[in-house]
Amino acid sequence: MKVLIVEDSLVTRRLLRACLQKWEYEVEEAAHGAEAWEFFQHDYFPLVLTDWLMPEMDGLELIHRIRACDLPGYVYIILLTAKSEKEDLVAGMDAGADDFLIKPFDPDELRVRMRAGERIIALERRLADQNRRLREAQAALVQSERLASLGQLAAGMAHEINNPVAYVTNNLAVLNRDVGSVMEVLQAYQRGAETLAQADPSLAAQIAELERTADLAWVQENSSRLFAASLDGLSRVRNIIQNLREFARLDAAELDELDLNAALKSTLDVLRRDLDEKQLTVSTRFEPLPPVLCRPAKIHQLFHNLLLNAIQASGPQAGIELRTTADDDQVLVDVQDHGSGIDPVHLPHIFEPFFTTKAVGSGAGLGLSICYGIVRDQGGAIDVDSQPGRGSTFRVRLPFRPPTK
Amino acid sequence: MSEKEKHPILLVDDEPEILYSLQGLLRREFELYTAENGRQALQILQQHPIHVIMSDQRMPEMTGVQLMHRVKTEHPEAIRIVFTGYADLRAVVDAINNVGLYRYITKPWDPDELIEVLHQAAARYDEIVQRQRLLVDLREHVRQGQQLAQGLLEREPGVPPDRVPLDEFARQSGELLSRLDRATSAGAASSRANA
Repeated sequence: MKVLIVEDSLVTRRLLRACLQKWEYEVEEAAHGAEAWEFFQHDYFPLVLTDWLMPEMDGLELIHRIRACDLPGYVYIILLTAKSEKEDLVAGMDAGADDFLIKPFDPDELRVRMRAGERIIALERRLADQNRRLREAQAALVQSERLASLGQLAAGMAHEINNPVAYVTNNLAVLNRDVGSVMEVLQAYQRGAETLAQADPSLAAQIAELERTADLAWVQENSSRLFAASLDGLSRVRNIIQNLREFARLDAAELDELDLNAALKSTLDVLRRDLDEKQLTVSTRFEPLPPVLCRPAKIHQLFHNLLLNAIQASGPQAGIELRTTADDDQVLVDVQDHGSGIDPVHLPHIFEPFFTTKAVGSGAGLGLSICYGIVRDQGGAIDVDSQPGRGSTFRVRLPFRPPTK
Repeated sequence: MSEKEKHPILLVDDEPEILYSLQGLLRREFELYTAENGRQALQILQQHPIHVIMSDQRMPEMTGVQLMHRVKTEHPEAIRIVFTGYADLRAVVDAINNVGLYRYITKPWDPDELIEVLHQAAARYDEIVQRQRLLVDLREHVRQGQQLAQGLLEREPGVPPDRVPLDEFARQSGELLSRLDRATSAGAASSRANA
């Protein structure tokens, strides 16, 4: 364990170092508070032995600073003091020192006090670790509940939007066809324009005026394009509904046994063009896997989304790694990229539907939420380890068979 | 295609906008009837010869599948199609075999595809009706043959050498006739509807 000695007397420093090194501590020395504070700027010492009266920065100030600073763990501070400095000792303990040692010190006493400090640090670390795990479990719970309620919302939305989308799409197709017919009729009429001008000049003039107001030439030229664009937009809406349904598990697919390695290989073939476009190299490490009873269409989609995600995150000529392995009751699939990584701020949201960091309109932000839904239905888990600028690893755990309902 | 050749199709949906929209799409190619619920649909089936019935699944009172159950027993000649939002897909897929659905169509549908499916359904109807007619004609033909054989047998009371095969022919015709009777009884409804 690392120990920092802060003491202006060289002799005391050396004596302390000799003892501590004998007991296998890693020791650093500082001659005063300011130098000690320097050490803390780039390092962390769980144990500090500090003198009280020192030039530059005294022990009191150092203790204040350490206590006010956000360090990776607790710092156990032992105050070194002479017998005559009893008042200072009280002030030091008040300021946040944990223990004290009277100079000149007795090595045995130093040893037991150091050991007490180590015990406190170990306890503190265990507590911090448990707290962290509790927080993670709570966050996972909140996450899964939020995603469940979003799933219900998505299902309701998909259902409600369905009918209007159905008839609006249909109406547009009807209008497209019928307006086309009307245009043909109109063109036939227009061929009789000269005859009409001779027979009824005032009606012909009226028609010419109406044509100008309506900008008929533009309408004739553009109506089919307007319809095509609208139908295209509606088909995008339909796709979004489709994806929402998949997230909300509205489609039941058939159960079958699947070789996940083969599924990954075929997904790679499907994405070959996207991979080649960025000149990405994929290295695979597939261990033999038992067949998994699952919904193959869904698992293919899961792999497709994860790989596409990795491709989109990667820069040109980067590598992507695929790994599979199995333990007693589940298959583990890792998809690792060396791309942009995920901002920690975004991490809690990446599995939520419509969450996206891409520009609005470039993607609906449903890919990973669909992954989440698929893995959940298999009774598995999906998580991600990501470092901004260095890449992400998505790890999927899929049980050999889905939960029995 | 002249007005006369258009196949009569019955559309059932509780949402008027859907019916209206479908009319817009299909009016050129089919003779259309619409109903907003199962009860109305069954009434229309009583009054008009319907070749294809296409119903929404999710409707109050009677679902599409329930309606098709009744159509199957009361108007078996009509080709049955259910169209459905995805939430009800399971129930409809399960019903395909029970109710003898020709197809199911998901909402939202692709307009061109829908027209294509309805043409196929109408063609299927024609096929079935033609087969029924063939069976009826065949039945009549066999009946005449049997009568002729019977007549010949009665006219010659002796034992001519060809009496045995003639006897055999009359017996086989009898069996074939009863088989054809059974096969055409299902088609009787459709020929009634076409009458």
